[in-house]
Amino acid sequence: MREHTFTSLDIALENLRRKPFRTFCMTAFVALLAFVLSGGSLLAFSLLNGISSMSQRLGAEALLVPKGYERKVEGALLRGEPSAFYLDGDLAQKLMRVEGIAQASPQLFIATMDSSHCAFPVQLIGYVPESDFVIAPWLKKQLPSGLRDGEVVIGNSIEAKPGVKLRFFATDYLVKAQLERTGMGFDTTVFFNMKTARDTLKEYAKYSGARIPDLESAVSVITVDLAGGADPTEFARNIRGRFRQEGAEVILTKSLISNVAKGLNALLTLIAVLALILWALAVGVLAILFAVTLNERKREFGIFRALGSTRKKLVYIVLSESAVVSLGGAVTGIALLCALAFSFAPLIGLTVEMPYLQPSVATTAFLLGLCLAVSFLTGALASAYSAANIGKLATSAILKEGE
Amino acid sequence: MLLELRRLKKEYLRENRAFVAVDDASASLDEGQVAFVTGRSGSGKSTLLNMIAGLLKPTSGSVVFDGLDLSEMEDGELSFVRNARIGYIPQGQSVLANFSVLDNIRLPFYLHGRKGNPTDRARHLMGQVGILHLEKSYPAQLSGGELRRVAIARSLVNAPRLLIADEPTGDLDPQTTEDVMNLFAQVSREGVAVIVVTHDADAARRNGRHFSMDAGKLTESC
Repeated sequence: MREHTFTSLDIALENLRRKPFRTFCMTAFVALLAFVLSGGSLLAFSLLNGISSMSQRLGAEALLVPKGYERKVEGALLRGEPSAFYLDGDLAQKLMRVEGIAQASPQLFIATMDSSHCAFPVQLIGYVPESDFVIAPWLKKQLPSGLRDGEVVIGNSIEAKPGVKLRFFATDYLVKAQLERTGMGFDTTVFFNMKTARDTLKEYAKYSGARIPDLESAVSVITVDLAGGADPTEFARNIRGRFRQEGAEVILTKSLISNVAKGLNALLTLIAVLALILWALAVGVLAILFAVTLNERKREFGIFRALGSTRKKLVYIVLSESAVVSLGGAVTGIALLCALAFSFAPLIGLTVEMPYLQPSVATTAFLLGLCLAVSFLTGALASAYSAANIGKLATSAILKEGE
Repeated sequence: MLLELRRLKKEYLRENRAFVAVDDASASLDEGQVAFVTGRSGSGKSTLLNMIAGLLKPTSGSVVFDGLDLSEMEDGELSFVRNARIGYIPQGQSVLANFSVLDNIRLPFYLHGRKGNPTDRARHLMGQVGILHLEKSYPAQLSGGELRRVAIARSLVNAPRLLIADEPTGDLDPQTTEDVMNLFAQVSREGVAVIVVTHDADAARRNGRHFSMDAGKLTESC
């Protein structure tokens, strides 16, 4: 039996406890709002973070690739879709000497297989540590001693730890380091130096039966940084004009990022519009729910008035009820979102098919806190009108009963 | 004098026309007195009670209770007076469904942040009205008579000086009506002034002062 005092909150809690279905419905509605708001915000921030990470990681201004494989390159870089495509070695050498290039470095892409001689299907990228300016500086931070032959560095989503060996094409490679999350295809990529890559390419050719024109000098992508003053568009036009017939194409990373950003902007606008509609709907529905509920309960509040409650006390009781419901709903919705979003982050990243990188813990906590506050305040705001009128309603309910 | 009604008037607008619910009502009541107010439905009885309880502001005139002019007071002050010094039993079922019998009775004690524990007094009152065995029950489990007893016990928990009961026996059987009326008589013997609005045909034979209301006019019968 309770022996404590009946504050407005005690009365509100008792009212909510004794009407579990009504309480559940209202809490569930706020939970849904909090879930969608925080889910939408987290998705939007993760995509923005992903694109920001992508523009940082793709340090090259242009990528020279085999003609017809532009989509494959995008798939490999953005989503880690294993791909293998090659430029002839001689063509690669000619491309690297085109005027306007300040630095260029080749990369070799190999797709592993879903078979007993490979640990799992994944993208392998070989790079030249001496000339590379995209991956090497970034790897250097985690592996200052560099990558020796037979050693690999793995992306963040690959399930292995430094010190273990991974088998590709019946050869074991020692994992030296694991990279931080990038939100793009690099998370599911394995990196090794060009010498190891060449050896692996031969094994790949043997196991896959792929016809690779020049195993010793073929490359997949040439990363290019332009000299100061060189116009990227002019450079692209020049490459296409001179080398398209020979089978080379150019991807300007600015355009690649801008295309992704365009798609992202459309998605973000959709998320924002949906969130706004849902919020307005939530305010409306909750306001109606509170108004209907309180209208049904005006007699109950009238009794409180008859017992000596001030109008202010009734307002506090109503606001306490809505605050408890809103807080409960907001916390439930956000907890549910956290459980889902953090458990299935890689799957979400794959589903959206865009660079997806969840923000830092601090940013995520701030974001979720903000969504919690908005959901909580939405509930409180929705009940404000009804709360403000409850004193008048309650008194008239008691009066009318007697007339 | 505990209560004085001075030329009390309440006017409403009905379809843009003035409707006088209580018209120039004057009366007074001392401690320990019981007043029965009878009249047809719509004659203004409940409006009169609500003005006495401070729930409704009169259009003109005043209610002076315990030396305080209720019509001049703000909601906070008035609510405190109603809570501390007036026990009010509204018409119809007035027990709060979400609270147990004991909590219903203790509730008025806490509404204005009093310190202390009213449980012993609540149990004493429950014993007086014969519902001590129901303290953990909820309103949905009680009969009409039991609910009325809960409301009476609740109205007395803060030891009021004035008890107002609006149709307290409207839906009760003769025996329970008798019990309730005896309770009011007992309360009045303890110095509490009691105003009972009733349709009870036997009200006329009960000890106390008798008022009738007709079209808003309050008249005391000899």
